[in-house]
Amino acid sequence: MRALRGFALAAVALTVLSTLTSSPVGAQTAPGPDDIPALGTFSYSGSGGLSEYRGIVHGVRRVPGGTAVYYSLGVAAGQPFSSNLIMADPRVSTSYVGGDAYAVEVLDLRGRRIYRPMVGPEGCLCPEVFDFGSDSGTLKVGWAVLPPLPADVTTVNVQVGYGIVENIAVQEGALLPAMTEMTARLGTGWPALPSDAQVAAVPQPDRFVRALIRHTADLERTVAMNEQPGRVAEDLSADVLFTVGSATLSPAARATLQQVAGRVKMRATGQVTVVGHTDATGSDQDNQQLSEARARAVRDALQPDVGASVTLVASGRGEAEPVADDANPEGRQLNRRVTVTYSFAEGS
Amino acid sequence: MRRAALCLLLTTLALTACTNDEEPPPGADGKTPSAAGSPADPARQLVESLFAEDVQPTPTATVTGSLLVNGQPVPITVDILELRADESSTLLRWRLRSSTGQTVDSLSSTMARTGLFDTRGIVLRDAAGKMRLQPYTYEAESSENFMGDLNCACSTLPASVGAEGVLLYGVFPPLDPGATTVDVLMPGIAPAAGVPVTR
Repeated sequence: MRALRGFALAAVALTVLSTLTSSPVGAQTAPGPDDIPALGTFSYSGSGGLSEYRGIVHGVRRVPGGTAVYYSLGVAAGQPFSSNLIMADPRVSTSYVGGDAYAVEVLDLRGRRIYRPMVGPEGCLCPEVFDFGSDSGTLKVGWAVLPPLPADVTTVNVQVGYGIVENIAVQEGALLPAMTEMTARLGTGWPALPSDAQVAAVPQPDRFVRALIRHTADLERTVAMNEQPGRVAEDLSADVLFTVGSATLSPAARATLQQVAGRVKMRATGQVTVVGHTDATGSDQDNQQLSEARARAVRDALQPDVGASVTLVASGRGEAEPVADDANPEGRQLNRRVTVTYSFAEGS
Repeated sequence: MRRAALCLLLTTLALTACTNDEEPPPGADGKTPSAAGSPADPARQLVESLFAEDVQPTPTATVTGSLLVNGQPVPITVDILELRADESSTLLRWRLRSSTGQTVDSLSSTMARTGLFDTRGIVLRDAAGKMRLQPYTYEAESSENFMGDLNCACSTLPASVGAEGVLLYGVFPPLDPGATTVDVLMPGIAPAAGVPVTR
């Protein structure tokens, strides 16, 4: 038994060794009471930039009804540990509340999905940031329970706070021994996860699985594609399509719009929206009118080439929906655009 | 050098673990916090190794520019630390630091869009693939309060940054398989041309 324990610890140490020598690690470490698996390390400054937080991902584990992520976090002795700075405040449009240690996410880059902590009737399936205390020179183990990963996902990336760790192997079962506290000092056991019933009580767990939106463009930035499974938005540069301040299509616009029409005809189903946007230069009213006029011009140019199987609907948003910072010229150029959005069947 | 010392330490840890039968296991009963404080226990050594690790690698490129913070330009320096690609994604690691040596405010929308402080505006210009790539973003969970892709698989800028800098990252779509270098373009910053790609 002692020999086995020694080999287990040696495996842990060598796992850490290979991790810290920058090799992506997917090493499997058998779960046991004596193991401290260390599958990857991360480092970041908190939102205040005062301390350097460092941590270890200890496991991404399949558990009943979900995926448990174990990680530890701390600062070196002598640095302040400010628990309220280890993660950004939750944004609006989420179920997380201030204080949740919610910023623990799994990236499945092959499946182009991100998995976030689930929220049940009793709140986030994660501890609170204040559970990490304020000690320095130690690591506290935290956790989060995310929706189940597909069976064929074997490695993932993990985002914790402001940091990231690559190529973490997905393993089976909770880490043991489990303690009762929400967080645990590293080496004293593992935090207990919510019960199977608490995990099963999460309404609509799929809402915590989000599609990653892929952003690509041609080198000239004439067309920027923003694509997620089943849906794409093509941002067409207004600087290419139109002369300055005008809704009259430029000579260069024709080739671009023919390519767009070809993709719409080949892929789109149902309704296709054509939405004009401007930068914030000029009055709101002028920008609104210009955006509407440009959207109509693009719709009218696309219509003959896309056929009757889809419906083109034009509208304008003026300067209300920027995609870049309008304070600089490059940002303003990106904000001047017409966006063609459509759904498509996966695989098309 | 520090990394080499860390390797030596971990090798020692591995050998010690194989030969020392007298050490109590870390957390075997889940109620022995004192074990986590003893000099030879692996948790303690993990902690010490982690905090001793050198996470400030030599940059492959360094460029300068400014962020607009409250309407004022703040001079900053960017170190490109690593650009690693595989068939499913590309990871950019970089460091943001003050150009003046003084700690400066750095919470800016320059690399995002007004109201956001992330770094989604960074572009990888891949000449081999004839593409420009930006970090993945994602929408908040479906709800009546849907507000679009507010979230990014990339770092948010820190509130302030000093001379030593902070480590940041971005996860991008895959590069062309033939790409050996790319240009890294950051709003407000001079282009970092010909950054080598590791695979």
